[in-house]
Amino acid sequence: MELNLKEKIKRFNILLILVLLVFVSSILSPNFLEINNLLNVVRQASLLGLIAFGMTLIIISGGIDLSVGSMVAVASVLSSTLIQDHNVLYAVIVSLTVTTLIGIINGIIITKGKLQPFLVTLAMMVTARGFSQIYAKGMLIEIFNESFLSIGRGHFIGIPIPVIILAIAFLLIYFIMNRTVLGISIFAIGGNSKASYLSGLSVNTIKTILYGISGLLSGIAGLIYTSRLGAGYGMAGMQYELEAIAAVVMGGTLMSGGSGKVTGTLAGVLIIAVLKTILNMLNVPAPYHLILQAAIIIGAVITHRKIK
Amino acid sequence: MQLDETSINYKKLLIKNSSIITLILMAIIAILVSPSFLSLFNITNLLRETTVIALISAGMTMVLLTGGIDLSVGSLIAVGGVFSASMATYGLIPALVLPIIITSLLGMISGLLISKIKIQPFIVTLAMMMAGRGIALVFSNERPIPVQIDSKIYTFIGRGKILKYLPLSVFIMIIIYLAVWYILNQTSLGRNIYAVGGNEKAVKLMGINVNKVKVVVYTLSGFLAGIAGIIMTSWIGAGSPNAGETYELDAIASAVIGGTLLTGGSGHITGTLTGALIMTMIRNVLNLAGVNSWYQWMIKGLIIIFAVVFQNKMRMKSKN
Repeated sequence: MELNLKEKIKRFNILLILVLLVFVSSILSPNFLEINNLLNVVRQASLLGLIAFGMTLIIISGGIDLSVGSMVAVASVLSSTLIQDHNVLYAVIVSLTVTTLIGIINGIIITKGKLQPFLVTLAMMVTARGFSQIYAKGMLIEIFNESFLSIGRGHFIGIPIPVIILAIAFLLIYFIMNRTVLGISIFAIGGNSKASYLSGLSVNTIKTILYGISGLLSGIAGLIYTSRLGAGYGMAGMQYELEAIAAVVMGGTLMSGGSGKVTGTLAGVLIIAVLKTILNMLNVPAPYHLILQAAIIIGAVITHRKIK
Repeated sequence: MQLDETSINYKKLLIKNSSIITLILMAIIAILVSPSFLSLFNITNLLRETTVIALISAGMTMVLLTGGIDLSVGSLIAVGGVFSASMATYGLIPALVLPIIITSLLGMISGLLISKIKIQPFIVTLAMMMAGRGIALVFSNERPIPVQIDSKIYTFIGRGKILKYLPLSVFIMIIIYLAVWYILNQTSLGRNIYAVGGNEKAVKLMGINVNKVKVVVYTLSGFLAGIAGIIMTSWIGAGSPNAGETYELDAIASAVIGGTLLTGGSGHITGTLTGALIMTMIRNVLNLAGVNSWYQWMIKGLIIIFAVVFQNKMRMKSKN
């Protein structure tokens, strides 16, 4: 089962774009390839990465989750309030439980009510954003707890903690998708939901679990965000859902479901992070970032098409 | 038997006009919550506030009917606005024509990428949303551009009234809704729009140019977003690059509350107008009642869910 060159390119073309982008970046700015800078890029990618991993699972199953950005905010305002009176573990566990539950509620409404995921999660996005702002009274909730702040700012054997969290999450999701029954089921459901149901898969339960996972990962992203900012913020994570979806699609996952790879998503996330970093290093004004990001998204999707 | 039939008809009527009934119910609640709701000043204001959302919702409805989605409308409002404000120095015609040409072109680019290159509408218009916002920010140096024009006509578009009470912008909205209604119900383009969303493959086999239909609807969506941008700029007196943020969501919600299905092929433009009025009314009433804007977000979310659940019931019923 040797892959020929064309097959290999087909499989790794998004990685090629990433390598190319890193190569161009290293020419444009010689400091780019320094290990600290690279770790920085990955640390910046960690927020989007966590969210995009959950989004990958959901999109492969044929759904979509627009509420992820708002769940970042929910975790942010909850953890920053809880940390005032409780210890770190309590704040972390309660916040993550709440965002996971929000995800599960999404899943239950979608599956039991047979409603379109787009609209359910859109409504949840608006509702959760409203809740976060009301909860925080529209203000920043400052955090002084050192051990909580180290979640986003600390290092472990020289590696930023968010990078370690991202790596663990990646390995777990990769394992689930490629080595477990749940993983196979996700592809089956996205490919043909009815057939999966008829062949005995508990489609509803699996979908609900996926939205729960998305809530959990968004919650973790929210904790990292809060810890890096040093405050809880009701507007945290605005429009993260869009960047996450863009990263997933850039990575070769089809929006129609049934096909996709988490490695591709990771590459998509890193491409966005590398692009942002190099544009910042070159002092390119922020509005141009948007235009270039749009071009890269479309470019990546077109290369997928061409090679296929 | 006879009784059953009439009850079914009654149900059908109720379902068909559900958005209008919701609107009337909301108006009654609004009057109870705040008596000043019924004042002429507030009603004209409400209608004027509806225009921008209603215009992009009309475009969104056509796009949704073909089975697509347009996330770029909010950004295109900003593009139209900043171009209109900056062109105002060169006179009335450039200030009105150029922005609409540009937003229509951007819409057309989305349509071409979607139909010719076959990229999902969500991704294409998401990219266009980013690019459009970027263009508006670059062009305006990230600051609102004040409108400097001698022509009174320009300010009249957003602020003027005709027939003593009717704001001109509302009049424009009515004309456009009539035009869209005509396109959807009386022309072959309209039939094709419904057909493409209903069953794209079958339509292709029938020899209808699907790509052309798609390009046209996204261009029209851009065109309407441009007009919305001009009206907004004329009303505020400046073109802001941040105008129209998250408006795409309001437009989608308006269409869906009005009964248009996200899956395409089913919906009607009058429903969208009611949907847009409902969305604006929620904001208007809650403002009058002095409700915190964040509660408004939550209430909006609940109303969308309510509308969707209702729609779903309707679909189940029509299947039975």
